[in-house]
Amino acid sequence: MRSDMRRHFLLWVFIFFLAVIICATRGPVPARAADEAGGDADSAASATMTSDQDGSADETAGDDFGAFDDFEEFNADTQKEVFDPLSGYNRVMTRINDRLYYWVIKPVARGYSFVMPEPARKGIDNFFRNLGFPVRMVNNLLQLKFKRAGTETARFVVNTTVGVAGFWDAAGSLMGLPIYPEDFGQTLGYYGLGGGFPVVLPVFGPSNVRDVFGRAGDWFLDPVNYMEKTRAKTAVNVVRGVNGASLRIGQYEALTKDALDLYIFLRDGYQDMRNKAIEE
Amino acid sequence: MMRNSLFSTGLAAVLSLFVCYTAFSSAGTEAVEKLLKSKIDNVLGILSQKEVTEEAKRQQVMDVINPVINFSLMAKLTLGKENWGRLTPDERTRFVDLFVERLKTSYLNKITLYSDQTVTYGKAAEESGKVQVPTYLETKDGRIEIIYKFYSTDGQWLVYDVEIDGVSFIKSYRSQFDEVLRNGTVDDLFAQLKKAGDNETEQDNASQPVPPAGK
Repeated sequence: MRSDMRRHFLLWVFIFFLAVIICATRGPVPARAADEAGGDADSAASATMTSDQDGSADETAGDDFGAFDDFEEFNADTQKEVFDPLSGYNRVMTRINDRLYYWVIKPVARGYSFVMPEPARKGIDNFFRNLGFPVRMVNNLLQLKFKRAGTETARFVVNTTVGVAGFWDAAGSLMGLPIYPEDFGQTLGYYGLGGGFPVVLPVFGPSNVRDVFGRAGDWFLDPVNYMEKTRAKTAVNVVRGVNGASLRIGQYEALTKDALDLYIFLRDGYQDMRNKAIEE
Repeated sequence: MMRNSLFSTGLAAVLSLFVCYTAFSSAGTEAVEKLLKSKIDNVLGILSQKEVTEEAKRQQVMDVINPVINFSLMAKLTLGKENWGRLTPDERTRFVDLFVERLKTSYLNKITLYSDQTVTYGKAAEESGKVQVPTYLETKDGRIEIIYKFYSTDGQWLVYDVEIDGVSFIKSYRSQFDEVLRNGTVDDLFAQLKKAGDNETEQDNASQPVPPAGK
């Protein structure tokens, strides 16, 4: 059973590498897809809108609010429209996830943090972070970030031993070794694969085609998935999720509270966040 | 001989330019770093007060940060050049008034992230007259990077954008505005700006037109 898994994993890595190479040589997928869709009414409408505005654009400098020309990053006339074929489904799922957070995850995480003192929750968080070592190490290696992979390995060794199976982040607090989060989605991005269109996953929230594949790749590197009993596996994952959420209560609210359009905010925010993570 | 002196003058000129440039730029980044640090320390002090209501804290925080953030410029940049051009001067003023209020609340809501957290500072970087200062919030389960972007006007450094983990305030509101304006009018945008903001969960799609099927 185990060796079967291993063989499968190698196969996956191979397939992904192939995919990466193919995609890297053929250019980003979504751009082409968007080009093909260029003939539809929507983009035609926005094109005429742009030309309508050309005349009045010059007036924008003459007011008290500042000039666009001083801020090149925001100087572009229009932002590119995102190719979003699943937007209908995505909106619904975003709404469901939002409700799920306020109605289920948040109350459960609150109750959990009521019975579980914070130091214990941080310890459990450290434990699961330590389990994430294979994902981070392999993806650092795949991106040829050898020094970081080395640091990650040192962290794992120290935290697993001195840090008592990872419950204490000894490498971080004693030796100041930083953590280098990398996942397979980032690896694919590192080799030039664009995100593709946005996909909102149940429970996990905003994602895109590339990162869905990335998740599948990382699945094989998550030690929890090699547990024999499905029920135990589920239990561990629930604890992992609830424990993590209990340490982040308030963050989702603070970030999303003032969105005009929650879906658009999360969709584009996710993309920006991932682009930054890939850059680093 | 001639060539030699020309060369040395040229070299001197380049060198002095370079010295001026580095001196100037480091002075700029240092001033900004100092300014930001004093403001954030100030805010952390306000947030750590025990016997003060949330509302009073928010008011105090706003008093501290208001002088260094150019909210109306942020509003304009957020709408974007093209959309800004579509608005009449009256609408522009109305938009700025409406959105600045919202930006302020939005920023204050983000500031709650700072409660009980420690802040560290990264190296400020200057590029074409603007300075970006990365700050890091150590949270219970990781860190959040918050970048403050400053520009200088009349010898004063002002914030024109804030970026949280790669997500810029301006950019993220901008794509939401684009979405509203793509399917609707300026009045729809005003209506949305007025409506949302004071509720937690019901704000997202309740007022949003249902996207046409098959899109």
